[in-house]
Amino acid sequence: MIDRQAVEEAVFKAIDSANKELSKRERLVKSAGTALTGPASALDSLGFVIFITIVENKIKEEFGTAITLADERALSGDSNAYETVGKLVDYICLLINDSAKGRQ
Amino acid sequence: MRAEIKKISYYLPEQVVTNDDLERENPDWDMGLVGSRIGVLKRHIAREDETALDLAIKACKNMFAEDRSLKGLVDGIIFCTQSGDYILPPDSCILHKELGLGEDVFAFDLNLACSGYVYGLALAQGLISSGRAANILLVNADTYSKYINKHDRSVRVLFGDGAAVSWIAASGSEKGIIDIRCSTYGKYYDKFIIPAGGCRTPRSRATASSNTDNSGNARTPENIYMDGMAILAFVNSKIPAQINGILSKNGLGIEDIALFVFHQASKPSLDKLASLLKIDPEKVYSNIDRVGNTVSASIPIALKDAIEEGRASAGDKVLLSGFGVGLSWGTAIVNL
Repeated sequence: MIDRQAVEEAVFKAIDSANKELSKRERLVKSAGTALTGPASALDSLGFVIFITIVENKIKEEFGTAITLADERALSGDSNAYETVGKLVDYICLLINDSAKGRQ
Repeated sequence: MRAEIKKISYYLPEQVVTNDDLERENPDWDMGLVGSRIGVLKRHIAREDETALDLAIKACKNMFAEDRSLKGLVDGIIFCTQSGDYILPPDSCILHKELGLGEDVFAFDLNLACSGYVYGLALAQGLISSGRAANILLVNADTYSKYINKHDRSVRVLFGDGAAVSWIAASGSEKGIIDIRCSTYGKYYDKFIIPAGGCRTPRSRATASSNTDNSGNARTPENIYMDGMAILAFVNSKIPAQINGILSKNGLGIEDIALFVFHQASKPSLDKLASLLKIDPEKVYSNIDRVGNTVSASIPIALKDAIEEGRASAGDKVLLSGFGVGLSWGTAIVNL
């Protein structure tokens, strides 16, 4: 099982990188409760795509696992996996664990 | 009888809008790194009085000037656009007049966006293989800039205007379209939409009223709305499966394709497709930095540039894949 805290730290590092690229209005707070989608989010769809691209790269760099965050679940919009930073961390843990099971 | 892409010409509007221009106009956009991350550094934008049809006429006239025999050979026009001059008649009929073509030349429009080149190839291939036509002009032209709110960064950064014409001809050799697959996912039609202006929701004072979202982007229901995350998710979940399916059906693998020319949607989508399909990035062509996303014209423009740059040549197998509004997608394998 992946260490959730390590994943959260990686996502926070991704937030630091993203904040250098996002407009002032879009900058993200390093907190589990920070909204990423929905009315409370400051990210537009372009900003969100940039952010998840940075997160995917950071996860690959830190854990050696290639994950795809923009998947069928994101298309349906039924999932709330991207609603906040905390939920995103949980979802990444799930993807990494699934990927590890697939390799076994 | 195979159908081959015999020649491509394109025309881009003279007006170029750089990311610096966008930032000067919208000082809070911070375009510096956004542009490089999304991959678009500049785009060509039609003048206010310049339409997709005007761009298409120029592209076609360029092609006729390069090959004087072509005009007398044309059997039909397939014009793919979502930026027609009029609700009716279709642009293809006006293009027919402007090119001075004969009465036996058929002409019709095709209302698709970023999948429109591959769908157009499929139609042209069908008409040619049935013996209905031997030479078809497949025209792809759009001016999405006219539908984009100038204060909506989420789409304005991405799109450029442009027109391409491809001469699709009956092939007497191995050259030509090997196979095509076209797909649709209508369930999510509202992920990429202009909500008002059609018969369902006609334009009104209310639809002209602009709303600004939390991220500071403004749009009216008469403007393009794109859920960027949903579209990227659609690309990631549907396109690799279609590409692997068509390759497998034809006994081919990724390694058999000399060049992949995807619809130039955005750099993240091109990078992700290369990664998911395990394609050497060197085999994925991109000109999005200087052209932007030109909707259905993006594949023929990219293919022509790739050929001119020596990235693909006669005898090579290239894979073309377009995806977007609909949601709709299509993939073709072509022997150049």
